[in-house]
Amino acid sequence: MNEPMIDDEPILSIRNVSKRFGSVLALEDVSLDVRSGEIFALLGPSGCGKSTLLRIIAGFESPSAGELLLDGHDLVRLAPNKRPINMVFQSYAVFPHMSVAQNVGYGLKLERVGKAEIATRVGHALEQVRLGGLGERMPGQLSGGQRQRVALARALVKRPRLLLLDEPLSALDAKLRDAMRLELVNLQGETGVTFVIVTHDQGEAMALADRIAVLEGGRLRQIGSPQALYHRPVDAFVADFIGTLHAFDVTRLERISHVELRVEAEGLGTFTWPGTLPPGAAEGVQGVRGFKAAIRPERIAVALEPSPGPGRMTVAGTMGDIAFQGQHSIVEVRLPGGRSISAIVSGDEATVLAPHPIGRPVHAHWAIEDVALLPERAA
Amino acid sequence: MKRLHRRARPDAFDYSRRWSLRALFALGCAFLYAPIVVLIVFSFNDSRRGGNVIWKGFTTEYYVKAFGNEELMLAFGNSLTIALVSTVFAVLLGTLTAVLLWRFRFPFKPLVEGLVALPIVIPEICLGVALAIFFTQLGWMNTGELGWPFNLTNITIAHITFSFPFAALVIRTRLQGFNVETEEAARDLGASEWRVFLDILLPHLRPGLVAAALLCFTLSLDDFVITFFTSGPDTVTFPVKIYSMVRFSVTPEINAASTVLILITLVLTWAALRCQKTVKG
Repeated sequence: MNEPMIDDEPILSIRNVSKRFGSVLALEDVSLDVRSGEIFALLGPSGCGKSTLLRIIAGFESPSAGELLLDGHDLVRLAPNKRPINMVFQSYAVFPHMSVAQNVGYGLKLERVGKAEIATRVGHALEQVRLGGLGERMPGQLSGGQRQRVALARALVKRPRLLLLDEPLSALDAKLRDAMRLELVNLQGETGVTFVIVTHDQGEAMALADRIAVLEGGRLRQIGSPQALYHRPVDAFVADFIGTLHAFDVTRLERISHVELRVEAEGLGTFTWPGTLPPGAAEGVQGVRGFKAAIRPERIAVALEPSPGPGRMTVAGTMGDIAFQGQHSIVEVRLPGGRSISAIVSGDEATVLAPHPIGRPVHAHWAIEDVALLPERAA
Repeated sequence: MKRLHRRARPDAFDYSRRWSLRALFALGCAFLYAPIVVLIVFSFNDSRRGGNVIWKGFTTEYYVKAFGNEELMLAFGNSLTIALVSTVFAVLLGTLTAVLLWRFRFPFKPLVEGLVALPIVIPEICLGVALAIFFTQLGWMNTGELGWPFNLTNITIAHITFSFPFAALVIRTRLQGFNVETEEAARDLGASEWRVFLDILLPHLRPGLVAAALLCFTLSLDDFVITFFTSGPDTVTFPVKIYSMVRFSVTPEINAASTVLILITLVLTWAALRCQKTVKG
């Protein structure tokens, strides 16, 4: 099979797109490029505008401002039935009165493709989504997963420039979801079609996508690879959305040297942090607003006795619940002041902690370099 | 557990074993269907003269007589023609209305919705009188000289008027269950608005269309009040004709004609149900 061809050439350019529904601004000045041959995810909580953007790309909504270019050509004026873009709907939208083969062949019939060629291409598309031999079935006789495959084949058989998928895994049960996730990645590699996926599930986006655009409140927050978003989030919102994050309000920042800052954060006390002053932060001001000292749960270790090591910081608290997850466990540590943090620890560590009662004094500690200094909202 | 089970409320089948409920059910059925059964039985009654109330013996003579009654057959033909034509137009109009009200938003939409439903709620007698006045004003009341079937125009129009809101109602209910994403999917695959209507919406509506057509046909076939007001002396329909026959005497001939009508309705209903079954696959 062909290797997925990813090059830097944008297949789809979204430039300064805004969408207004009455008084509601669903999208605000969104610009992004989708590269040819990649799986691109639009990720965000519900109401962030990701579905609106997908519908604008498909042509079911038109932008209030901005432009859309597919291969350098204006897309906005093109009706949805004239765009070389196909979509897999969230409800799959399989035509209930047509057989599987008729469903898949419908788009080709409209293109006035010859009957023999339709049969060949439909057969091939059904093989691709592993529905070979089910062409004569009616949609009512199919499972949810099979209906989704019909919708996939129906869109792919048209050989679109862009395949849009609206929450492709959300309606499937957990086991099927993992299988389908792999299959989608394989299918993309096989066909070389560029995928644009909308999802609210960060796990889904991380596992599927080459690049992710995080949207919130109609605005683009950050674009990047899953790794980049996880390790170098631009702000606390993105960091919190991509995985779990414990964030503490920063109250004071002070520069010690070129590479060190003295940070005072609520609940953490004062510590020396290796790094430079983040952009937009004023030094030394009491009550620095909008900055967070943040730590990921998998970086936190929990010990029964204080064990200050070089380059580590320790926070005292009491033991909370331990949730066994198989390979690892999630330990809750209750901090003074009512908040609690969770730490992901290995099975061995959990075995040490487990016999101790809830409420026993414990110490959460982590390497200071694992602390990220993030603005609450990137400008 | 077992005790609990025994004490549980009787289920639907247990209820049907109680004689009191069975009797009540039989009574209900008798109330609904006994008159029809009597009507059919007495269509075979060999009564010579006077009221058709006492069983005198079996005969099919009155069926022959009914089919030989030219006026009755003419009225019957008229009724079928009117029902057929008005059904086609009522379903067409009803579909358009339903799609309009379902699909689009426009000013004064609630008002339009109310107006469409109006013929369902206003008393038939009012609609009958109103239509009679309307046709008189237009000079369409004396259509007798137009010749068949154009002499039936005003009755047909009247029937479309009162039956299309029913069609719209049935079809709109069917539209509620429509997955709008299938329409968008078709657009996405390259279908024009018109193709979407033909390929996606219409097949979805088919059971609704069949039900609406059946409803309109039946409504038209047995309408008396509105037809009575809009028919001229030469344009008599089946119910109007029977009414005028009853005024002279109740003969088994009327029973025979009515039985034929019941038979037609039953066959149509059965056909419609079969249609809907095949659509469901």
